[in-house]
Amino acid sequence: MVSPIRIVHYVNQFFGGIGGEERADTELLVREHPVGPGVGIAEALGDRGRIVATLICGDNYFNERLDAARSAVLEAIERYRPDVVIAGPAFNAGRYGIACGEVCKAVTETLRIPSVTAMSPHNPAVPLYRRSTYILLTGESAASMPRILPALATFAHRLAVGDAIGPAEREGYIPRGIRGIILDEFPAARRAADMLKAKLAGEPYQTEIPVEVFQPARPAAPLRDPSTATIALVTTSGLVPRGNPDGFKSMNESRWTTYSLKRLSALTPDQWEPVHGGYDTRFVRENPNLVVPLDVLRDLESEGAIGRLHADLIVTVGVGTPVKTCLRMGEEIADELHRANVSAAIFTSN
Amino acid sequence: MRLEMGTFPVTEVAFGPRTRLDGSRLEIDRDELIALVLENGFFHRVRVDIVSPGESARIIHLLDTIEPRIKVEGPGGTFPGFLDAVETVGEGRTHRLAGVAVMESAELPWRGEKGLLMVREGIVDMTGPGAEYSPFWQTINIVLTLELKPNFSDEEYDRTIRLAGLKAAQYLAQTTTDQTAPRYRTYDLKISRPELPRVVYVHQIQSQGTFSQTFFYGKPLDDLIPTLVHPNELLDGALVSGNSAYQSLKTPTWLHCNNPVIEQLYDRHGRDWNFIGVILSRGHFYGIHEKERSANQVAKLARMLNADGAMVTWEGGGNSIIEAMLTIQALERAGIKTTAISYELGGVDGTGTPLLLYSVPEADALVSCGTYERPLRLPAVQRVVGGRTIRLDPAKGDHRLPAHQSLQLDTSLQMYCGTNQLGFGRRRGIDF
Repeated sequence: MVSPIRIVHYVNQFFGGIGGEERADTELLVREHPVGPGVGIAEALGDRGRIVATLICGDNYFNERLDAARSAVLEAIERYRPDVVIAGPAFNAGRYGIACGEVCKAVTETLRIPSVTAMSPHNPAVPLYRRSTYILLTGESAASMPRILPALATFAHRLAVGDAIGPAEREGYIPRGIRGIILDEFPAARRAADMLKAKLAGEPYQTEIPVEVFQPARPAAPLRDPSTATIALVTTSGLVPRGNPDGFKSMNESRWTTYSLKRLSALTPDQWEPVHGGYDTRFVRENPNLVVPLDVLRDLESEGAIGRLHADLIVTVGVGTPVKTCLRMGEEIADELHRANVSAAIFTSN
Repeated sequence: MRLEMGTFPVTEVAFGPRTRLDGSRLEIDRDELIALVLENGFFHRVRVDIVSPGESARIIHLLDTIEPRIKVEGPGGTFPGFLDAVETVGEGRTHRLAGVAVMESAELPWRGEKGLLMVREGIVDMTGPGAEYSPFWQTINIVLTLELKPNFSDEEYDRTIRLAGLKAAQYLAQTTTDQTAPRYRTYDLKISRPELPRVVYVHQIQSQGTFSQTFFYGKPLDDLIPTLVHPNELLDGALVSGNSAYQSLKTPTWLHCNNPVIEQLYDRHGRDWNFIGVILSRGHFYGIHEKERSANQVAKLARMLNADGAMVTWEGGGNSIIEAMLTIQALERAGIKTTAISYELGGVDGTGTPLLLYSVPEADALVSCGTYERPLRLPAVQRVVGGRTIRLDPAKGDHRLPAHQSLQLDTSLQMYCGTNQLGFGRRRGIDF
């Protein structure tokens, strides 16, 4: 039999029995026994564990003196060496939700102790803390208390003993922004057929992949005077020095780099090659200038049509890379070009 | 069109003095099969190996996989346009050997990294963490390892390997010709309950050139404008895969003949809906104009069929999702309720959003079939079939690893059918 787990429980002044709004400035109080909802949690736990301390703070104190309150709470928690920390439940109370989220985030990130809280999906603290801790779903008000306390007790116990926690919708917590891969009970074709049946019948169904609305990129304003501009070449075509010295992948790449174009008047197939896995690269293999038009740019440079060409070519392999990674690389590349005082870039894909 | 399918479940495969089916035991005359495959003059040597479920085995350099099928009555033959005349199939009687798969394994000459139009590595592990990526950890696999003679073109190798695989599959299915199948099932789109909703399957395939191609009656679909086909044509092998560019996203011929979406639509035909046909389309067009045309033509055909609902799948990754999403959008705008199956991204740790490279708000009923982005460690195995060494990423040059050892994969792109979107598998993404 596993020894009973040690729990520290955090509540606000109201659920801690100190008082209502008039006592919202209450600084940290410590009780070495369950208080308020903690009594229900302790009951549900039985001999699986015990609440070794209840920490109580006023909501205003915690929110208005965040750093001080957080340190005081952390210090107290460390003293009691809990296996897990429970905060709340906070239902739809905003300041209390923030305090619960902040306590859980701090203990998990700073003390590496697992934590769990509970609130309504509409609590303003949810978007702020859902990535940092487990937030079990409650109703809007304390009416859902009897259901949530045993759930909190069991969930906390599982965290403390290191049980694997399953997907959010099956475990009843708010998704933490982590996509996991599991084996479903049924194959995808059957689930898609079930979903179609529900959709045709006007019954509820839930997509497995939420979609986001894509924002189109707005092009920058045209250059006033290209003849004084510094132009950079940026490509996702996967054109690299022959031999692929940086080991770029042909798909799903997450890195970019620069290659010098100094003293080159054009790109030649003996020195450059494409490693992109998403298009027919045979033509580029014969003439790399098709995807990185260095030859034409050098002509324009010598004619004075552009001021000068930026010394470095910026390269990545743009195929099968998630949008978030692309956005990150785009921002890094833009920073690099800003630092080098580049006025415009010619972006080539394939 | 009415097709009767006779299924012969195979539970044991062994080499023997002559090729025959004895109950559920398939015996193969190895020499005769090898002689048949060697006929075309492109191969030095052919090995035939039998790999069974539960073995500590890895099959590598995989190209196409085919289920043995043969037409025993009615017009045309199986895999029309390759082995038989180009006659419309999908009627009469066809026999299949269930539970077995003929696999082509060959290493094409290393010509350097060639972008899209090259063969990449394809792996099937029969046990362990790499097993449940394809349907083939559960089938008895008859693997043809083909040693190629030098100095032929990619196109010549591609064509002769395909013919070898199809011929071998048909050869094995011939064992059933004079037998009565333990199980028969009739496939027919006849409507007995007209009040049920009408559902169409939109089957978007990949076809962009050699090694990234799908064939319909023996001809590539590279310039396909959406067209209407009968699901029975696919059961008879009208669609044949020539797609080896990305083994994890491909649809091998075995899956074209055993399409899980078609199975679902047929299983519930006359109960939940009326299955009214398959619209074949292709993705990966290079311009937005062609992508829009493809999507709009799918929706037009679906409207002409008076469809109420549609299931959409697509083959391959990358920009083919644009055709798929525009298709969903066009269908929904035409009032046709649509669900689709998609792989997802999300980064190595699953914290990257959005999960798709492109999407439309109308795509509100998507089913996940997992991701290729997670690293995968394949354990060492006792037996490797298809070769000794393996090249995991051609972009990194002709760098080889011993294939029987433990292999650390950055992604699961080499796992055969690992993120195929026809929905045979249980692997999916979900919020944690």
